[in-house]
Amino acid sequence: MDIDLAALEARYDAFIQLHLDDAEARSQRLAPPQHYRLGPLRLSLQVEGDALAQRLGMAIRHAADSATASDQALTVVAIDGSAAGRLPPAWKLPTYDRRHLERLHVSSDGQRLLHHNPDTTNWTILDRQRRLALTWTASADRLPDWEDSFPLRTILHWMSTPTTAALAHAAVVETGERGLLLTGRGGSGKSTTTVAAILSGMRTCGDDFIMVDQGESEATAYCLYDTIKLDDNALARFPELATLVANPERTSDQKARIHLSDHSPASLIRQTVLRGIVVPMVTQDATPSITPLDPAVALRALAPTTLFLLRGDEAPLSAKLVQLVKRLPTWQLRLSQDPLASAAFLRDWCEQSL
Amino acid sequence: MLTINTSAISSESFDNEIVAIHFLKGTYFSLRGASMAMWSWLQQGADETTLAKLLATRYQLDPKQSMEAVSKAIDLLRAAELVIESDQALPDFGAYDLSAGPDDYQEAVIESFEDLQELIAIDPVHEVDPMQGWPHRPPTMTLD
Repeated sequence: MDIDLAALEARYDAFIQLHLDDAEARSQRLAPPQHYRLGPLRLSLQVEGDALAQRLGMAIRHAADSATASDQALTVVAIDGSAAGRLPPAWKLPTYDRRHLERLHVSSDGQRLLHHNPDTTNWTILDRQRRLALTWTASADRLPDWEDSFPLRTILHWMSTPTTAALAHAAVVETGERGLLLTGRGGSGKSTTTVAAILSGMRTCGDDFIMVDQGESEATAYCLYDTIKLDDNALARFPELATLVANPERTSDQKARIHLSDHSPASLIRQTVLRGIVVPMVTQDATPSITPLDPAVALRALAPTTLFLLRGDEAPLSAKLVQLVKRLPTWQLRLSQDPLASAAFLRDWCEQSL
Repeated sequence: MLTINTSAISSESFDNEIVAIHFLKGTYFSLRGASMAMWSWLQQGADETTLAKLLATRYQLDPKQSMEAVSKAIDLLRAAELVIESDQALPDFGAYDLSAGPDDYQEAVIESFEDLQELIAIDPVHEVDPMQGWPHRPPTMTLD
């Protein structure tokens, strides 16, 4: 049996247009948008539902922009289905591409993207040409706790694809206008080092997802989220932070979340020029040390974790991460058992050697 | 003919290693030694016989040793879904880059990493009704 792919894709296009038209109409009845400047991207966000507005806005408060909407801004309409009395539909779209098993669809011209999360019945839809996106969830209460740490990341990722910027699953620490990108898989000591670096006087662009723009002669890191996330073991190393945790009711598999906008706004910087990539490694060494690292190893630390956490547009994202590890020097930081000593070492090395 | 599964793979070549990432399966790979040369030739499209001939020519290997090295590597690459079958025609032998890979022969190493697979939330691949979509299965067909 021949399959009419054009007819099948037309069903996706019709679904996307229907719901973006609806979102645009609903936005006329919502409160005026809040504008954000996230690296080179401009966002105008309108939310239906107070609980969802709280959850989406918490981690990006630092990026609120008092300027009026720019023509280049992306309009994002976020709908809490339970608050709006309009629950999102289940996935009933045709499956003719392997990515549809992930409930991910990219139009054949790459301009329209759609992703569905059946656990939260959440839809994320973007039409790049309309500069309009929708995130529609059944209920803000059903979103997992960790969504508060990096809201709208899928939309930001998709929007950055046609630009010279890209999201990266990494932390950035800075001293004296010298920025270092810290990356590594879970348990590598990235977040612990970031917290210790802040306590040692360094500043940060965030410790989870950041944005890197390579459009200029230098690579610039931008802050997207104001959050620091620590698992219980890492939090136990910094008992003075326990009272700052925004989610004390978290379950055992969730990380503690601290918003720097609330507790250490001076340590949060909007952007910094990157001077290198550092891959931390937990060791039993008595003292910390740093050595050059093969860029291939740095790519293995940075790219898989970034790509697997962001769906769609993997090829252009991967190309930007490759470009980054090939243009910046790469090092391995061997952490000692004392995170503050490791962070002080990193700070001094950054100031004296870069 | 075999070729790289480019719809699911991103890869990059460095001096001593090729990093390949299967972004649908959540796996990633470090290719070293002779597998770097094989990867380069697979990017142009090649079958096992051609790869063995290329490897033997590139490193002055015994044909049997070359075929064994290629078979072992291709088994791993196929199992990992890094390479797929293609119905494209083979390039001329002279079109392949015979300087690909390390200067001196080193055994092909294909190291796989599966520590991040949990980050990929994908359903088991199953048959799906093309019009109703997931999770509807297509109508069952029986032979009377």
